[in-house]
Amino acid sequence: MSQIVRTIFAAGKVLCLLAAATGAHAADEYRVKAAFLMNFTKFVDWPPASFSSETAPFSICILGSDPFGAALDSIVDGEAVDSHKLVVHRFGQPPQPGVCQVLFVGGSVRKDLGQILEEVGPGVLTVGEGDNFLLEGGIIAFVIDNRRVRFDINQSAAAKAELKMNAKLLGVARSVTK
Amino acid sequence: MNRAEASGSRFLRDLPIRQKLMAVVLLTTTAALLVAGIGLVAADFFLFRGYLERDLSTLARIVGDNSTASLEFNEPQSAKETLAALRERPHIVMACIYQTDGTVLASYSRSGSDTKCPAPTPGRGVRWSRDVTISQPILLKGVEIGTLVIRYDLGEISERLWFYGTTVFGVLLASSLVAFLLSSKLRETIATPISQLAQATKSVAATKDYSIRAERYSADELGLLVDAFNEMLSGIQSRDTNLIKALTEREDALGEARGTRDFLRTTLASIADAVISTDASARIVFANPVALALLRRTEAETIGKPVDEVFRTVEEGDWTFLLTANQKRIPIEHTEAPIVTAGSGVGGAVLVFRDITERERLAQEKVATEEQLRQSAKLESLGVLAGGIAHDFNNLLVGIMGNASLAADLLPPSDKAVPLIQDVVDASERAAQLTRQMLAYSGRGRFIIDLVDLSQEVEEILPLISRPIPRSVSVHLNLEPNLPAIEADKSQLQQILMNLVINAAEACGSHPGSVFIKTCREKKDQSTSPPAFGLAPIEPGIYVCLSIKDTGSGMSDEVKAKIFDPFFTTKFTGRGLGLSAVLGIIRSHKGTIEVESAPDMGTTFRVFFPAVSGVVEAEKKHPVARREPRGTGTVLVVDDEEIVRNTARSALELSGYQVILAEDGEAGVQKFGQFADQVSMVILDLTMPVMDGESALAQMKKLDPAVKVVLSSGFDRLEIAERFKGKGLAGFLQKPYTTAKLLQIVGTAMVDGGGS
Repeated sequence: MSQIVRTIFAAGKVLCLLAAATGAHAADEYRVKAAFLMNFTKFVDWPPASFSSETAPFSICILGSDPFGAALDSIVDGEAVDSHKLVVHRFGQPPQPGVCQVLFVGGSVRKDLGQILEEVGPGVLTVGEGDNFLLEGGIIAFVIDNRRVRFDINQSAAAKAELKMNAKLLGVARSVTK
Repeated sequence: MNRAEASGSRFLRDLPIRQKLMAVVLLTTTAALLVAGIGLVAADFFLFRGYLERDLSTLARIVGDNSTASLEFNEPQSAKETLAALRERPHIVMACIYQTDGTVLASYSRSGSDTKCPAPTPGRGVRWSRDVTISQPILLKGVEIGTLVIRYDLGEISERLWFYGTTVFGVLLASSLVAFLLSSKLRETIATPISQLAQATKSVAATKDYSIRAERYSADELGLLVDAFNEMLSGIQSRDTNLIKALTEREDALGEARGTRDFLRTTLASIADAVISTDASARIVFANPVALALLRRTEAETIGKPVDEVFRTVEEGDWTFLLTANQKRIPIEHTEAPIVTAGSGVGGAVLVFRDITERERLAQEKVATEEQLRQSAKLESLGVLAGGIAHDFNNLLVGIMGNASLAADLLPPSDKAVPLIQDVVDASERAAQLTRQMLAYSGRGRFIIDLVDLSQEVEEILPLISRPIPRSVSVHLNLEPNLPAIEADKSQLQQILMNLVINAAEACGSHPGSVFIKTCREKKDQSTSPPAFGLAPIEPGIYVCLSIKDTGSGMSDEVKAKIFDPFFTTKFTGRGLGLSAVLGIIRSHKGTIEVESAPDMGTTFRVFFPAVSGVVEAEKKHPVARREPRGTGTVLVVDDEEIVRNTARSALELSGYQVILAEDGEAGVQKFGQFADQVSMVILDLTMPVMDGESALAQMKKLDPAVKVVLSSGFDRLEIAERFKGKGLAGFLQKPYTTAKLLQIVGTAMVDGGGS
């Protein structure tokens, strides 16, 4: 596929994202968050030990109920992080360490959230929703700020998970917790 | 090179050397600095452009990189903050971050107010206009997620240019000032010696004083130049001196040579002979005026021409003729000689020639004159000889004839001796005739001059001479009436006619022939009748002619040339005196004769006598008695010849005259004085040894002015006869005379008296 076609394709996806973001429509909220999920992969460095092999897939895992629906799948489709193809997994139970690189913990998981986050192991970027998520030991939490989707970052949690957060990502976060 | 450049370089060229050096230094310095400055500025400008592009690209990349998260997470605020860092670069006018859909995520403006971002252009690019606009795609992991556009004003470039410009200008000014100050000191080291040299040259040129020397300032090339100049000056000075000396010598020599040349040229031009000189190739280099005049050429037509073309001659016998430019032939005498120059051999030739026309004419004239003189001398001597002989002959003949006729008279007519005595008389007559012809030839036989009508005279004479003409020859007369008179001696006219007619008749020989006798009048001068046969040139005027033409054998030119010579004859019986006598008579009558003849064409003699104004008087007819009456009176006979005296006495006494004799003039005068009362008349011989007739006559006339004198002579000249005419001569008795003639003259003189 040529560069131009890819660019146009990407532009089309971004267009959708922006429409959701600016519109701050409830239905579109998760479309933006889905895009954010994938964008996080571009500003975070995973330790090589996170992958079983060079060609092992990069898994975005969703624990609990899936708020994104098909939006996440369509965004992720065909994308990759370095040499790792992006895939989406959905879990009802906390996955085994080393299976996921990004774990979105949906709002439906309230019980034992701290423990789940504790046990998920290093090399997993945990993303959740609400202010409480960071307090429970999560790394990035989506927040709605002034009707816009934004996020907070818990840098110590990221360090604990052996993830290197790009400064630019930190720059655009609403707040960064040390 | 255009005019401006030319005038510019001329301006520079004509500047004094000080200014020129200054101008060169300043111009060089300024130009070098200007070029360096412009080069630096240009280099900086272009380098700065590249640098600016690179700088801006880097800046854009950094800003774009820093904006990736803002774009990805749609954070205009953080993007704006990122852009706000551009404030550090004051020349950035504005910057905009576009998302991939073209919407502006964030923008920056230097002025603070919101700037309207222009529509983004896809891809990366730098656009230069009044400012620089750089368009930088923002990539995240190789994917373009937006575009950053930065606009940068060119104020910086202008600032830099201004800065550089002022710097360059300042440096230029400063360096020019330094160059000026330095060169104004340094130029003196070059300009001063040159100016000094120029000054020296100028004063040398102005004053021509080659003793001036230039001052030497340095040991460089200028020093060498000054040395060389000074050396040159001293060279010129010494050469000048030598030159003036040489020139003076040369001038002197030239003046001398010119003087010599002019003198030689004048000499050549003054020579009466023609002179032509040529160079070694036979071309004429000089021709004097005489030569040009003879050649009938101008100098331009002569000088430089080959001599053969100009000097053309024709040889004819001993003569050389020059052919002139107008094709005339001039007899010349000429010499040629080579011009031998010292060293180089023959340098040409000189030709000298002269016109000998005049000389030849004079020579011929001289020959003719000499011939005439010779002829005259011949005639003179012959005349003297003939006259001498005739004189003696006449005296003798007087005796013979007188005595013979007296003897015949004394004898009775029936006497047998009478015919014999008559033969003596006839022979004496012929001898007398011969003597007369000799006298006529010598020009001394002319005595009685009358005005004569030639036609009438011919008519009268012709019957007297017709006897010897053969019957086979017919004589035709054509006599013109009313001819002008001529002065002539009739008896001599008779001689002419007789000689010519008889000659004409004899020329016809035994064949039948004709003789035409004609008279006429003609106008003549020397041109129609040149002198011939030793005759004197005739006077122009009217002439009376006597033409005698025969149909006889004619003469060759050779014979014709000699016919008038005495004793020349073609006739067996001739004595060769006839035509000589004719010529003598014509001469004494101041006439001329023409002869036309050719063998077998007959001969024409034409005799001319000058006409005179006057009428022919009717001839006085003297009563001539056949027998003279007896005379009375005493006659004095003066003659140195005894035989003449005796014959005269016999004749006169027989006729009744008393006779007194005298043997010479002195005795005559003495006798005349002695018998003055008795002497009736005197017969006086002209030529006598002691006192001649003329003196005797004068003395007698002194004693008795009325004395009757008859002059007697055999060869008296015409002039003398004429002179005596005015001196009261009673008559003239030509010797030899017959007694009849003597008695007739004496009788007439006695009757007429003296002074006729």
